[in-house]
Amino acid sequence: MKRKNHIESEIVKTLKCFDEPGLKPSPFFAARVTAGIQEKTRPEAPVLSFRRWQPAVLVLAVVVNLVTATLYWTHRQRESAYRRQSLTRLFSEYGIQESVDPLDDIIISS
Amino acid sequence: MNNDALIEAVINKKPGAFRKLVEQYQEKVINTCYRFLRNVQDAEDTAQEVFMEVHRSIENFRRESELSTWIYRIAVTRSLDLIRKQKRKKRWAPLLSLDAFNHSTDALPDPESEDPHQNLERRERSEILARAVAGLPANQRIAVTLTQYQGFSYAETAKIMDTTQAAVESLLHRAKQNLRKKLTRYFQRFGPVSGRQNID
Repeated sequence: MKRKNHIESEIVKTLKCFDEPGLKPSPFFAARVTAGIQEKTRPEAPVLSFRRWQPAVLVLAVVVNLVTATLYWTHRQRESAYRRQSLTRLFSEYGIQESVDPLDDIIISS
Repeated sequence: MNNDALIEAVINKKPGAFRKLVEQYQEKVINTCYRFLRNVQDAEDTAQEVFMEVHRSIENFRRESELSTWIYRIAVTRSLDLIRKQKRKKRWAPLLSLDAFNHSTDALPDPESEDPHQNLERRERSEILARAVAGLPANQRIAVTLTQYQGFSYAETAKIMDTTQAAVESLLHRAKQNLRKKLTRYFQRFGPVSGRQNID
Protein backbone atom coordinates (compact mmCIF):
# COMPACT_ATOMS: atom_id res chain seq x y z
CA MET A 1 0.00 0.00 0.00
CA LYS A 2 2.84 2.33 0.94
CA ARG A 3 4.66 1.49 -2.30
CA LYS A 4 1.48 2.15 -4.30
CA ASN A 5 1.12 5.59 -2.72
CA HIS A 6 4.76 6.31 -3.38
CA ILE A 7 4.38 5.48 -7.08
CA GLU A 8 1.25 7.63 -7.25
CA SER A 9 3.12 10.58 -5.79
CA GLU A 10 5.96 10.03 -8.31
CA ILE A 11 3.44 10.06 -11.17
CA VAL A 12 1.82 13.26 -9.92
CA LYS A 13 5.22 14.96 -9.58
CA THR A 14 6.28 13.82 -13.05
CA LEU A 15 3.04 14.94 -14.70
CA LYS A 16 3.68 18.43 -13.32
CA CYS A 17 6.79 18.70 -15.50
CA PHE A 18 4.73 19.72 -18.52
CA ASP A 19 5.41 23.32 -17.59
CA GLU A 20 9.15 23.07 -18.29
CA PRO A 21 10.55 26.23 -19.87
CA GLY A 22 10.68 26.50 -23.64
CA LEU A 23 13.55 27.34 -25.98
CA LYS A 24 14.49 30.93 -26.68
CA PRO A 25 15.02 31.33 -30.41
CA SER A 26 18.47 32.39 -31.54
CA PRO A 27 18.63 36.13 -32.40
CA PHE A 28 19.82 35.15 -35.87
CA PHE A 29 16.96 32.78 -36.61
CA ALA A 30 14.99 35.24 -38.77
CA ALA A 31 18.16 36.12 -40.70
CA ARG A 32 18.84 32.40 -41.19
CA VAL A 33 15.35 31.82 -42.59
CA THR A 34 15.62 34.82 -44.92
CA ALA A 35 19.03 33.63 -46.15
CA GLY A 36 17.62 30.15 -46.72
CA ILE A 37 14.78 31.57 -48.82
CA GLN A 38 17.15 33.70 -50.88
CA GLU A 39 19.34 30.67 -51.46
CA LYS A 40 16.34 28.65 -52.68
CA THR A 41 14.95 31.37 -54.94
CA ARG A 42 18.29 32.27 -56.56
CA PRO A 43 18.17 31.34 -60.27
CA GLU A 44 20.40 28.41 -61.06
CA ALA A 45 21.43 29.69 -64.49
CA PRO A 46 23.93 27.06 -65.74
CA VAL A 47 21.87 24.11 -64.54
CA LEU A 48 18.67 25.57 -65.93
CA SER A 49 20.14 26.31 -69.38
CA PHE A 50 21.61 22.80 -69.55
CA ARG A 51 18.23 21.34 -68.65
CA ARG A 52 16.61 23.33 -71.44
CA TRP A 53 19.17 22.08 -73.97
CA GLN A 54 19.23 18.53 -72.67
CA PRO A 55 16.80 17.05 -75.31
CA ALA A 56 18.67 18.77 -78.14
CA VAL A 57 21.99 17.44 -76.86
CA LEU A 58 20.48 13.96 -76.66
CA VAL A 59 19.16 14.13 -80.26
CA LEU A 60 22.54 15.42 -81.47
CA ALA A 61 24.33 12.55 -79.74
CA VAL A 62 22.02 10.02 -81.41
CA VAL A 63 22.51 11.62 -84.85
CA VAL A 64 26.32 11.70 -84.46
CA ASN A 65 26.26 8.04 -83.44
CA LEU A 66 24.13 7.06 -86.46
CA VAL A 67 26.39 8.96 -88.90
CA THR A 68 29.52 7.42 -87.37
CA ALA A 69 28.05 3.92 -87.54
CA THR A 70 26.99 4.38 -91.20
CA LEU A 71 30.43 5.68 -92.17
CA TYR A 72 32.10 2.81 -90.34
CA TRP A 73 30.04 0.13 -92.09
CA THR A 74 30.45 1.70 -95.55
CA HIS A 75 34.17 2.01 -95.07
CA ARG A 76 34.46 -1.56 -93.79
CA GLN A 77 32.64 -2.99 -96.80
CA ARG A 78 34.82 -1.02 -99.17
CA GLU A 79 37.95 -2.18 -97.36
CA SER A 80 36.85 -5.84 -97.45
CA ALA A 81 36.43 -5.73 -101.23
CA TYR A 82 39.85 -4.15 -101.62
CA ARG A 83 41.49 -6.70 -99.33
CA ARG A 84 39.95 -9.62 -101.18
CA GLN A 85 41.14 -8.23 -104.48
CA SER A 86 44.71 -7.73 -103.21
CA LEU A 87 44.90 -11.21 -101.74
CA THR A 88 43.61 -12.88 -104.91
CA ARG A 89 46.21 -10.96 -106.87
CA LEU A 90 48.93 -12.05 -104.41
CA PHE A 91 47.92 -15.71 -104.54
CA SER A 92 47.78 -15.76 -108.30
CA GLU A 93 51.14 -13.99 -108.61
CA TYR A 94 52.96 -16.47 -106.36
CA GLY A 95 50.93 -19.51 -107.37
CA ILE A 96 49.73 -20.16 -103.82
CA GLN A 97 46.75 -22.42 -103.34
CA GLU A 98 44.06 -20.86 -101.28
CA SER A 99 42.82 -23.20 -98.59
CA VAL A 100 40.97 -20.74 -96.53
CA ASP A 101 38.81 -17.77 -97.04
CA PRO A 102 41.22 -14.94 -97.81
CA LEU A 103 39.13 -12.66 -95.70
CA ASP A 104 40.10 -14.59 -92.56
CA ASP A 105 43.04 -13.15 -90.79
CA ILE A 106 44.83 -16.54 -90.61
CA ILE A 107 46.01 -17.66 -93.96
CA ILE A 108 47.11 -21.26 -94.32
CA SER A 109 49.02 -21.82 -97.47
CA SER A 110 50.43 -25.08 -98.77
CA MET B 1 -0.08 45.42 -38.29
CA ASN B 2 -2.88 42.82 -38.16
CA ASN B 3 -2.56 39.38 -39.71
CA ASP B 4 -4.43 40.24 -42.95
CA ALA B 5 -2.18 43.24 -43.54
CA LEU B 6 0.86 41.13 -42.74
CA ILE B 7 -0.20 38.43 -45.21
CA GLU B 8 -0.80 41.06 -47.91
CA ALA B 9 2.58 42.63 -47.21
CA VAL B 10 4.33 39.26 -47.49
CA ILE B 11 2.49 38.39 -50.72
CA ASN B 12 3.42 41.80 -52.18
CA LYS B 13 7.03 41.22 -51.10
CA LYS B 14 7.07 44.34 -48.97
CA PRO B 15 10.57 44.72 -47.47
CA GLY B 16 10.82 43.40 -43.94
CA ALA B 17 7.31 41.92 -43.94
CA PHE B 18 8.34 38.30 -43.98
CA ARG B 19 11.00 38.92 -41.34
CA LYS B 20 8.29 40.42 -39.16
CA LEU B 21 6.13 37.32 -39.64
CA VAL B 22 9.04 35.08 -38.68
CA GLU B 23 9.80 37.14 -35.59
CA GLN B 24 6.16 37.04 -34.56
CA TYR B 25 5.82 33.25 -34.71
CA GLN B 26 9.38 31.88 -34.35
CA GLU B 27 9.29 31.16 -30.63
CA LYS B 28 6.12 29.12 -30.71
CA VAL B 29 7.06 27.32 -33.93
CA ILE B 30 10.53 26.37 -32.66
CA ASN B 31 9.09 25.18 -29.37
CA THR B 32 6.31 23.20 -31.05
CA CYS B 33 8.95 21.43 -33.14
CA TYR B 34 11.17 20.97 -30.10
CA ARG B 35 8.41 19.32 -28.04
CA PHE B 36 8.05 16.68 -30.74
CA LEU B 37 11.69 16.26 -31.71
CA ARG B 38 13.45 16.79 -28.34
CA ASN B 39 16.53 18.08 -30.14
CA VAL B 40 17.41 21.77 -30.42
CA GLN B 41 19.20 21.50 -33.77
CA ASP B 42 16.43 19.42 -35.38
CA ALA B 43 13.82 21.82 -33.97
CA GLU B 44 15.53 24.88 -35.48
CA ASP B 45 16.09 23.16 -38.83
CA THR B 46 12.45 22.06 -38.96
CA ALA B 47 11.24 25.51 -37.93
CA GLN B 48 13.29 26.97 -40.78
CA GLU B 49 11.61 24.56 -43.21
CA VAL B 50 8.23 25.56 -41.79
CA PHE B 51 8.84 29.24 -42.51
CA MET B 52 10.22 28.45 -45.95
CA GLU B 53 7.02 26.54 -46.73
CA VAL B 54 4.98 29.45 -45.38
CA HIS B 55 6.88 31.80 -47.69
CA ARG B 56 6.40 29.48 -50.66
CA SER B 57 2.69 28.89 -50.22
CA ILE B 58 1.32 31.98 -48.49
CA GLU B 59 -0.28 33.06 -51.79
CA ASN B 60 -2.38 29.89 -51.68
CA PHE B 61 -3.40 30.41 -48.04
CA ARG B 62 -7.21 30.54 -48.22
CA ARG B 63 -7.69 32.36 -44.89
CA GLU B 64 -10.33 29.87 -43.78
CA SER B 65 -8.34 29.52 -40.60
CA GLU B 66 -6.11 31.86 -38.63
CA LEU B 67 -2.60 32.43 -39.97
CA SER B 68 -1.18 31.10 -36.69
CA THR B 69 -3.27 27.90 -36.92
CA TRP B 70 -2.01 27.32 -40.46
CA ILE B 71 1.62 27.87 -39.44
CA TYR B 72 1.41 25.62 -36.35
CA ARG B 73 -0.28 22.93 -38.43
CA ILE B 74 2.68 22.99 -40.83
CA ALA B 75 5.03 22.81 -37.83
CA VAL B 76 3.26 19.73 -36.44
CA THR B 77 3.18 17.99 -39.84
CA ARG B 78 6.85 18.73 -40.53
CA SER B 79 7.92 17.52 -37.08
CA LEU B 80 5.98 14.27 -37.42
CA ASP B 81 7.44 13.78 -40.92
CA LEU B 82 10.94 14.10 -39.49
CA ILE B 83 10.16 11.63 -36.71
CA ARG B 84 8.90 9.15 -39.32
CA LYS B 85 12.07 9.67 -41.38
CA GLN B 86 14.27 9.19 -38.32
CA LYS B 87 12.41 5.99 -37.40
CA ARG B 88 12.90 4.65 -40.92
CA LYS B 89 16.61 5.51 -40.72
CA LYS B 90 16.92 3.81 -37.34
CA ARG B 91 15.34 0.66 -38.70
CA TRP B 92 18.06 0.39 -41.33
CA ALA B 93 20.98 1.69 -39.31
CA PRO B 94 20.84 0.53 -35.69
CA LEU B 95 24.16 2.20 -34.96
CA LEU B 96 22.77 5.59 -35.90
CA SER B 97 20.05 5.21 -33.29
CA LEU B 98 22.69 5.38 -30.56
CA ASP B 99 23.77 8.71 -31.96
CA ALA B 100 20.16 9.88 -32.15
CA PHE B 101 19.63 8.85 -28.55
CA ASN B 102 22.58 10.96 -27.48
CA HIS B 103 21.19 13.94 -29.33
CA SER B 104 17.68 13.39 -28.11
CA THR B 105 18.65 14.16 -24.56
CA ASP B 106 19.30 17.82 -25.33
CA ALA B 107 18.53 19.64 -22.18
CA LEU B 108 16.41 22.73 -21.99
CA PRO B 109 17.80 25.74 -20.22
CA ASP B 110 17.69 25.16 -16.51
CA PRO B 111 14.72 26.54 -14.65
CA GLU B 112 15.92 29.04 -12.11
CA SER B 113 16.26 26.74 -9.21
CA GLU B 114 18.98 27.20 -6.66
CA ASP B 115 19.07 23.60 -5.50
CA PRO B 116 21.12 21.46 -7.92
CA HIS B 117 19.49 18.28 -6.59
CA GLN B 118 16.05 19.61 -7.29
CA ASN B 119 17.23 20.78 -10.67
CA LEU B 120 18.58 17.36 -11.58
CA GLU B 121 15.44 15.64 -10.35
CA ARG B 122 13.28 17.97 -12.37
CA ARG B 123 15.32 17.37 -15.49
CA GLU B 124 15.06 13.63 -15.06
CA ARG B 125 11.33 13.83 -14.56
CA SER B 126 10.98 16.01 -17.68
CA GLU B 127 12.94 13.46 -19.68
CA ILE B 128 10.84 10.55 -18.37
CA LEU B 129 7.66 12.43 -19.18
CA ALA B 130 8.89 13.39 -22.65
CA ARG B 131 9.69 9.76 -23.42
CA ALA B 132 6.30 8.66 -22.18
CA VAL B 133 4.63 11.29 -24.39
CA ALA B 134 6.74 10.17 -27.34
CA GLY B 135 5.37 6.67 -26.89
CA LEU B 136 1.73 7.75 -27.23
CA PRO B 137 -0.25 7.21 -30.45
CA ALA B 138 0.29 10.12 -32.87
CA ASN B 139 -3.02 11.94 -32.32
CA GLN B 140 -2.81 11.73 -28.54
CA ARG B 141 0.77 12.91 -28.71
CA ILE B 142 -0.15 15.96 -30.80
CA ALA B 143 -3.02 16.84 -28.46
CA VAL B 144 -0.82 16.54 -25.35
CA THR B 145 2.07 18.46 -26.89
CA LEU B 146 -0.08 21.34 -28.06
CA THR B 147 -2.20 21.71 -24.93
CA GLN B 148 0.11 20.68 -22.09
CA TYR B 149 3.51 21.82 -23.34
CA GLN B 150 2.59 24.66 -25.66
CA GLY B 151 -0.39 25.98 -23.74
CA PHE B 152 -2.80 26.08 -26.68
CA SER B 153 -6.46 26.09 -25.71
CA TYR B 154 -8.64 23.11 -26.63
CA ALA B 155 -10.29 25.22 -29.32
CA GLU B 156 -6.96 26.24 -30.85
CA THR B 157 -5.69 22.65 -30.70
CA ALA B 158 -8.87 21.44 -32.40
CA LYS B 159 -8.29 23.94 -35.22
CA ILE B 160 -4.64 22.96 -35.64
CA MET B 161 -5.56 19.27 -35.67
CA ASP B 162 -8.52 19.96 -37.93
CA THR B 163 -10.95 18.25 -35.57
CA THR B 164 -13.58 19.12 -32.96
CA GLN B 165 -13.00 20.32 -29.43
CA ALA B 166 -14.79 17.24 -28.08
CA ALA B 167 -12.41 15.01 -30.00
CA VAL B 168 -9.43 16.84 -28.49
CA GLU B 169 -10.87 16.43 -25.00
CA SER B 170 -11.37 12.72 -25.61
CA LEU B 171 -7.82 12.37 -26.99
CA LEU B 172 -6.43 14.12 -23.92
CA HIS B 173 -8.43 11.91 -21.57
CA ARG B 174 -7.09 8.78 -23.24
CA ALA B 175 -3.58 10.24 -23.40
CA LYS B 176 -3.58 10.93 -19.65
CA GLN B 177 -4.74 7.38 -18.94
CA ASN B 178 -1.99 6.00 -21.16
CA LEU B 179 0.62 8.27 -19.59
CA ARG B 180 -0.39 7.10 -16.13
CA LYS B 181 -0.06 3.46 -17.23
CA LYS B 182 3.36 4.10 -18.78
CA LEU B 183 4.63 6.01 -15.75
CA THR B 184 3.32 3.40 -13.32
CA ARG B 185 5.16 0.69 -15.24
CA TYR B 186 8.29 2.85 -15.32
CA PHE B 187 8.34 3.62 -11.59
CA GLN B 188 7.51 0.02 -10.70
CA ARG B 189 10.51 -1.07 -12.68
CA PHE B 190 13.08 1.63 -11.91
CA GLY B 191 11.87 3.03 -8.60
CA PRO B 192 11.23 6.66 -7.66
CA VAL B 193 13.32 9.50 -9.10
CA SER B 194 13.64 11.28 -5.76
CA GLY B 195 15.10 8.17 -4.12
CA ARG B 196 17.69 7.82 -6.84
CA GLN B 197 19.22 11.21 -6.05
CA ASN B 198 19.96 10.06 -2.50
CA ILE B 199 21.78 6.91 -3.57
CA ASP B 200 24.80 8.84 -4.89
